[in-house]
Formats: sequence, C-alpha cells, structure tokens
Amino acid sequence: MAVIGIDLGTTNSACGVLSGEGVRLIPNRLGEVLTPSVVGLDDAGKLVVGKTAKERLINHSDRTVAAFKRLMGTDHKVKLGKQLFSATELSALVLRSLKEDAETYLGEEVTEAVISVPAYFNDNQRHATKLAGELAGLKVERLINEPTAAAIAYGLHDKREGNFLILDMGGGTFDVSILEFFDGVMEVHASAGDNFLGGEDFVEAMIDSALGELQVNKNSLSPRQLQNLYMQMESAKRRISQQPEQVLALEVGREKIEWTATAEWFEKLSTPLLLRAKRPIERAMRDADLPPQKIDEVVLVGGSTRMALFRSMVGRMFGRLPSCHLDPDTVVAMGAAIQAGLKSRNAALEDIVLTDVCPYTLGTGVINEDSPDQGEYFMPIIERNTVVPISVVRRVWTAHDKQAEVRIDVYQGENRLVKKNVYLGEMSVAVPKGARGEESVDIRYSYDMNGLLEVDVTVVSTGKTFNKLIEFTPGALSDEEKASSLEKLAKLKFHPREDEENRALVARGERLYESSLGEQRDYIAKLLGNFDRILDGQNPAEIKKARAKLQEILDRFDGEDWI
Amino acid sequence: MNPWAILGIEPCDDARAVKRAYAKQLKLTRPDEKPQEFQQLHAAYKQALNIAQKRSATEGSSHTAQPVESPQPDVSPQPGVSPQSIESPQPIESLLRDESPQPIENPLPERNAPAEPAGPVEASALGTEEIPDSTTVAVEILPESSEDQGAEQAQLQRAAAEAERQKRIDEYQRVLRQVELALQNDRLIGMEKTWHFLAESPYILEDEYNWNLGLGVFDRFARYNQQAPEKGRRGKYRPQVTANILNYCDHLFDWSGNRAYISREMDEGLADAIFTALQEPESGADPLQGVRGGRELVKQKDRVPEESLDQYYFGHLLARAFAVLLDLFLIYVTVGLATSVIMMKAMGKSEADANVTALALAILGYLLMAWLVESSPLQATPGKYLLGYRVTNREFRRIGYLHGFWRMVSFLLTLPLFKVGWLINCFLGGRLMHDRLSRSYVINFRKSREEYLRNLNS
Repeated sequence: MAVIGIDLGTTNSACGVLSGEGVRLIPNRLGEVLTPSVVGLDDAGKLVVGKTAKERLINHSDRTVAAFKRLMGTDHKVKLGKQLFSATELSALVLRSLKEDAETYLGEEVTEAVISVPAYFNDNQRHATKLAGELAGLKVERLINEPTAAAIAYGLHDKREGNFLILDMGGGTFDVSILEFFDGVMEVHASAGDNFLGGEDFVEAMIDSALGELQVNKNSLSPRQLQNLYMQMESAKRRISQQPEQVLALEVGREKIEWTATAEWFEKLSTPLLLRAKRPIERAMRDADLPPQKIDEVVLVGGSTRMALFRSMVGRMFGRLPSCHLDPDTVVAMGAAIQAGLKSRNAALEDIVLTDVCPYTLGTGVINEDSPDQGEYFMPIIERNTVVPISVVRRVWTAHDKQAEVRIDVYQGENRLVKKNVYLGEMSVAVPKGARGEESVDIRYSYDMNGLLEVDVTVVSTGKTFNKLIEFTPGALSDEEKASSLEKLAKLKFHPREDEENRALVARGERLYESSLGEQRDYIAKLLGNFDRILDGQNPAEIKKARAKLQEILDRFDGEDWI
Repeated sequence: MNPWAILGIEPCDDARAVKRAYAKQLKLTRPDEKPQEFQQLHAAYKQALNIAQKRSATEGSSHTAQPVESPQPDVSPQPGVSPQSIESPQPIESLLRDESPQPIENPLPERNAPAEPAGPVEASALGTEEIPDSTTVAVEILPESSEDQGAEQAQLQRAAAEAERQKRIDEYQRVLRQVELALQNDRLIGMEKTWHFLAESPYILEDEYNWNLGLGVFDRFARYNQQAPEKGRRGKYRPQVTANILNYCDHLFDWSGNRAYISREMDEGLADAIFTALQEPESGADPLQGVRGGRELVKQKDRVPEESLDQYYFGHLLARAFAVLLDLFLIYVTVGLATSVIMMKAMGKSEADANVTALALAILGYLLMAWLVESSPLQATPGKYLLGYRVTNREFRRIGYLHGFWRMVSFLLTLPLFKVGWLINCFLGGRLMHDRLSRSYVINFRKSREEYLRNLNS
C-alpha cells in the first residue's frame, strides 16, 4: 500500500508518491498538481476545495476561507455560513481532497501519509497538523520539516555534496535550514524561521499602504471589494519585477480609482519584511557555526522566493545566485513523497539517512528569586538545534521546607523568562516532605523525529516515574470532541469528481461577471446561461466542446490565469 | 567512550574519513530505529570531527610562516555571524578569506574615526558590491588585462567604492538628523508611522549600514529616554520612546540579537533601559493577519486544562454544616450587623426589630453569595473553601451560573422540612437532598487530591 507525501501549504497544497520510476506528483480533479488551500461551502451546503473555492473567494467570501494555516495551533475558529470550523478541520478537508485525488490516481486506498510542516512550527502547531491528518482519515506516519523535505528532493536530484542553505518562503511562513550532504547522509545543522512571514504579508502590506495613501478605512470596504483588492495586489506583486509600473483600477467604496503600483513603492514597503527575513538566516548560520563562504549552495523554495527583491537580497548576502532549478512550488511535496517512500523502506533509498534538529529550545520554569514579579526563569533542557531524536535529563530540587509537590511546567522558546515563551503543558508529582533542597526530581525530555515532545519525571528518592503530562494545546480535542468533529466533517460531501472542471469554470465566470461592467458583463452572463443549459442537457461530448469554448473566451477576458 | 571506537576507525586528522565512517555506521544505526545508539554515534562523530579538524589546522599552520592569533585583537564580534573560534589558530589564507565577506565592524568615521582599521579590507568594505568573492573575482580578471589597465581599473574601482561609501555616510548622517528631529516632536514620538522613514532608507538592507545606523538610533533613543525624567520634573510631561517603537526598530536592526555586544559597547545602564523595555516574543506578526474570507473569526475561550483525579471523596455532613454556620456568621457580622446598626441609629427602630431584619438579610445574603461563589471559578463559599471543599457538577467540573441558581432553589425547596430534612440528610452518604435535586456534588477536593498524589507515589 502506498504512503503519500503531502505538502500542506498556506496558499497551495500538493501531494506526491514515490514509485519505481521515481517521484510522481499527483494531479487533482482538475488535472493540476497544485491545489489551492482554500475551503468553502456552496449554496447547497456541499464542500468546495481548491481552485473552484479560490474563484469563489470574491463573491462568496463569507462561505469561503483561505490562508487558514496561520490559525493552526491557535484557538480561533472560522465561521463559514453558519458553521464554525477550526483550522485543523479546514486542513483536514484539504487533506481529504488530496487523499481522494491520490486514491483515484493510484487506484488503491490511501491511509497513511507523511505531511510536511514548517520547520519552525511549534509543538502546538505540529499537534494540530497531525490531528488534521487523523480527521481526514490519514495515519500520519511522519511530520517532516518543509526545508528538509525540499533538501531531500534537491539532494536526490543533484547527488551533490556540501553545505546547503535552504530558504523556504511560502504564503505564510518562512523557514531557514542549513544541511550538509555526504555519503548518503543528510544532516540538518540548524533550523530557524518566522512562523508569520510569507507572501501574504507582502500583499497585506501593499493593501495597507495603498489604502493609507487613498485614506480609505479597510473596514469600510465590502468583503467583495476587499477580496478583489487582494486579488489585484497579488497579481501586481507577481508582475512587479517585469512591469515596474502598473495601473490598477481599484474599486473603493462607490468609486473606481486608478492607482499606479510602482516597483519603487513595492520596494519601500517590502523592506521591513525583508529585514525580518534576514534575522533567521543570520541566526541559523550562527547556530550552525558556518560563515557565508562555507555555504556551497543556496536553495530557494516556496512561491514567494520568486520575488526579485528577495532574490537580490539573498544574492547580496551570499554573493552568488541562489539555485532554484526545481519548481519551488512543488519541491516540498516531492521531498515529502520521498520521505514517505523512505519510511516504507523503498529499496531505492536504502542508503539514505536523514538527521534533523529541533528548532526550539525546550525547558521548564524554575523559581526566580531575583525578581519574583517577572515570573519564573526558563531552564533549558533541550537546547535548540540539537540533533533529534534526543532525550535529556536535568535534575531540580525542592525550593521550600516540607514541600509535598513539585510542578513541572513545560515551555518552548528562547526567552530567559517563561512568560515570554510558549506554554505546552504541566505535570505535578508528589515528593516526600523534607527540608528544602533535600528532595529532587529528574526531568527527562524526549524529542522524537516528528518534533513532538514527551516528558517523564522521576522522583529521585522513591524512584517512581510519572509521564502523565496535562497538555495545553489550543484546539486540541478530547475523544468525544474528535468523534463529533469527524461526524461534522463526514456530513460535508464533495461534488462528483467529473463535475469539478465545469464547476471551476462556472466559478471563474461568476467572478469575472462580478468584476466587469456594462456590455462585457451582459456578455458573460449570456455565456454562463448558455453553458448552464448545456450542462443540464447532460450530453458529455457537447459539454466538453462547450467547456473548451467557454474557457477560451474567459481566457481572453482574464488575460492570465491568476491562480 | 572513545569516539574512534564507536566510529570504527583509527584516530586520524582527516575530516573526510571521519564523515565517511560516520555515514557507514549511521546506515546501521538509523535515528528512527535506534535512537539511543544514534545519539551516542552522533556525539562520537562530532567529537571525532572536532579533533580531526583541530589537528589538521595545527598541522596546516606549521606549513605556513606562523600561526596568527588574531589580526585585529580589538575587532568586536560581527553582528549576526559567529566569531571565529580563537582557540584554534588558523593559517593566514583562511583567515583572510573568512575576513573579507563579513559585514565589517567598521563604524562610520564620525563614531570613532581613529579605530578605523587600515589595510586591504577597506577597499572592499563598503560599496554596492558586498560580494564575498569580490577579491577572487578581481584576481581572475587581472591576468587577462594588461598591468596598466589593471591598475587603472583598480583605481577606478577604488574611487567608485569611495564614492559609494561617502553616499552611505551622508545618508547615515541624514537619517540620524531626522531621528533627532523626530525626537523633538512630543506628539508624534509614540506613533509607529513617525518612524517608518527608518525602513525607507535606501541602504537599510546592507549589513554594515544597517548595523551602524541601528547603533546610532539606539544611542539616540537611549539618551533621550534617560533624559526624560529630568525634564518631567519641571512639570511638563515628556514622553519616552515607548515599547512599540522600540519593538519596531528591533525588527529593523535586531538589537536584541546583538544584545551582548551593544551592552558592552555602550554605557550599560543606557543599554539595559532599552532592552528591558523591549518586551515581546519573537515575531511581532499577528496570526490573524492574512487569513482571508469566512464570515468571521471567532476566538474560542481559553480552556484551562483541568486535572482529573482517579477518585473523589464527598464532603462530610458535619463539616458542611460547620461551613454553613461559618458562612452565616461571616455574612451576619458584615451585612447583618451593619444593617441593624443603621436601622437602630438612623431609622430609630427597636433592637428586636432590627435584629430580625438583620438575620433575614443575612440568610438572604448567604443564599445569594452561595450561588455566586459556588458557580465562580472559586467553586466554594468561604467556609467550604477553608475546608478544601468544592462544588462541582456530575463530571466533577465547575457548575455554571444557571446550574448554580437551580442549586440554590433546590436548597430553598428542602428547607421547609426542617429537622426531618436533617434526619434524612444524615442517611444520604454525603450527597444531600438539594445536591441530588440539583444534580451537583460537594466534594472534598483537598482530600481527593492528596489521596491521588499518594496513590501515584505508592
């Protein structure tokens, strides 16, 4: 049975499988390898995922959502129509769509998968991703870090040796990893990143800047206008390096305003974001103890690394052109697929071993006697960028006379004070009463290959071990909640696969209808009406012909496919 | 344990051989299958690699003229780049190679001109090309062109570099002047927008410029904040550079990343004032930003993880009676006595009248308080709390206010039974009539928890 590899991205998702002939990317129901990570419900309450949903983002924004990966591991939910969904559930719906595509493509059931996550995802976010897989009916064999997955794809492709710096900027996250390849070993030296820095932030900055200049309040725009603005800015961002001056027709309130986006303007508003991107790069190099000239190759991954500004910044930092000869959009999915094959011990990969690191420091809170009002100090147990799997023990002593209980709070982060780090959970153990400092407990942190943590505490004097950690994971579900969530998701059905192309086309037509005026608008309405009638006729050959024709006409209006 | 034995090779100084041996062993000790052995192997590998590299470094340096400790002893650690480990002497060539590409810690002239390092670094230090191998590029070009041309070219390059450098110095001074200007406008100081010009400075993405400008701005901010209280004494309010601005600038200049260096360079008190004000976790971004579509985003209530114990003990009848008396007494002392005094003094009522009203008020007050505090996160009236008791629903969780209200009504309903009620309650095993009626429990939480911890231990 095949294990698939999935790249669950902020903007787009993709999946692949490793077979005898190598890595293959799995096409979705539209025949494309990239599935936009957009989920919506249509008027009939049926589920829409991918490109069709993305087209509906403008006209049906209250029933459609994109970029929800940012909410993973938080306790925010999204309201679609009247139903509430957590980011985990929305991700599960995307995963289910990918799973169905894979099953159709492979002709067998798929129940196991390797899913990639940003290297800098914290424990909560990783748990949420794993849970999403479970809700989609996939046993998640392994969570792999995205830059590591990309490196695997490159490493296998190039078979070169040396130090690689992987820069992965996707729609919502930015990751940096430094790897070394030699003799079939891929060793990650360091990872760093920013969980909230990606292409979407550039678009957001463009919108804020443009609206600021026009003195328009963002909240005064209708959802349709806002989504339209997003779309226009998104495509302006993509073209800006080829077309340094673009005139956009922005619809703001009741008026249409012509507005010019220049390369200079874009550069200005990008600078703070680019500076933020430099920090993790510097930190990773510091942690790996490698100066820039010891980096043999800089590899760019993720759609946002196509930005010319980003490339020139990287070029200036390293004095060379970064490489990107594999498609930055799909390379992570390819790497995840290879890892999936590796996991199921595909014979071709017998001689490849991957070692990874944990990107965050993990530790516990200890009493802060210097300044009690600042809260507890953070005592690191596993330092960041330690190679995993790892298990480390540290001993702590009681702080009060007759102390009967020791509470271990688990934190993740780099700050000296626990309150500025991420709280993961806690555990209390009883200790025999004694004078302060007499009793002690050994705290063992074990960090596995998936980036998930386990905590054991042993009371030294009694030798008794406890491992019942009360996890504090926002969005975590109890068994009952899981069952009800599964039930809720199971009620949502996709439209039949073969209709998807027609639906995507109609959604696109509707979007164009909304964004055009006058004669063109009437014309599109007529076209769509015609197409609807042919669809009702249910004659496959006729529908196919009409579809091709409609596609051609819509292409003329749209100029480019903005997805 | 001997790292060489684990790797299965003889001690050597060839890093490549160590890597090869490690790779061979690793394939037999996969991290996901044998985690412990893998840790051991990895530690051995790191150790062996370190030894091998040190050995070859010492050997290498004996070939060259003499080991150079450090060419510029006073060079401070580079921002963002790890300093070379000093304990391992390196051959000259490698030091030079390592040196040139790094953002050179070469403060602009006005900061400390005499300390400016002289030498070959200067030419390539500034300028548009911060390309690490610019020196090697130049070397490659040289043999092709004639010597004259080469010299001319080099001169041109140097002049161009000098011009570029001057541009940066001018810009640096201009921006700092703007900072000083902005600091004089009390009203705009706290607005992030005021400071956006910093990010718009054209060379801000260049390491050296960024670093120096960052230091300059830091210095101005620190001095400004230090002066603030003095001016304030004259009665005029003078704002400080607030945390939001400092955080914004920290994103631009990464002060917190170079804290150690800045604290050493500057007056420590000055630097610390800024660093303590910088209060923020790593990323300043809002996770909600960028999520598109959806009718609305709903924040779920924070769920405090609740410990569930193995077993719970119900409260004891007598203890609960004691708790009620205690509560009544408390309420009577506070509310009751106060009202009776008021009634007697201010309204001229007789003592008996006042006492009856006070008692009635106390009972009413008790009912109201019991409802509110038992449903609150406290989960107990003061009397119950003192005894370590808690009121819970049948899942041993906190009861809601509606549930709590029903509990109070149930209690009222059982009151008319008087002594009969008491008698019945004696036989109900800690679950009294009104508990049963309102489907709630009163548990001895303290005992339950102690028992739970004891069980864990044995």
